[in-house]
Amino acid sequence: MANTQALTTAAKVQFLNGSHAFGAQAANGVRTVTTKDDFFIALFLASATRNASDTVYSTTGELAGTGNYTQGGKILPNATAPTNDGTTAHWTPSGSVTWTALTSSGAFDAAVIYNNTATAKNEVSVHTFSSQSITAADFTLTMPTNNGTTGLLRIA
Amino acid sequence: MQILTQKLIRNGWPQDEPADFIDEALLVKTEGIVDNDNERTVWQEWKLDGKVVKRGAHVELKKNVIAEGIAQMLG
Repeated sequence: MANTQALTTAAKVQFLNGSHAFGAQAANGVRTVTTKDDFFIALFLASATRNASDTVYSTTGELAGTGNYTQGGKILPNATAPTNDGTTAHWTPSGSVTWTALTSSGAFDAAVIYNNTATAKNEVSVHTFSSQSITAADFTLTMPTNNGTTGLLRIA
Repeated sequence: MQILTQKLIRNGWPQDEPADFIDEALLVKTEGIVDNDNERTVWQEWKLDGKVVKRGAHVELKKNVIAEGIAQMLG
């Protein structure tokens, strides 16, 4: 089993259905969305299997709620609305996320982003990195530069 | 300087009570970097008697996920 970096297939369909609001649109937008959704990020064990076929957030394979980790993860800072860079649309959380004085319940190598405003907590993406075990220390995830080449979520 | 570590019992602590703040001079510190197309990760690890008592990491994500937008031609 392994985690695989991906934009979930379900999220792609939901993008076409207008199911996720990463930013609030102006009144002259395609439709008026005055409140953007809350997106969370949660950490998953290296033994988990999170990938493009995921549909909703689940605690299966997530770090246990111990050692200063709360299942469900943390809200992503979202002060920057989606935009475009040339022909590529992109969105990136506007800041990093830190788990303070964390002791992880095991080695983990993936972070899952999901829509916490949605009733089903629809999963958007899986992001992988080298396996980490944290003991009594901080764990920080820093986001890439928000542009059309490196933005965290892109539609090209 | 004392640093926060995993709470542990070790012979030599006062009354052998569990300790979670330990003099850093007693620990062996190791640092490492993973730098590739996917991430830049910096980690630090402290060991006491060969056991990891503190380990932190900073992961900078580099690789994004992408959906290819396609508008199919009509006809």
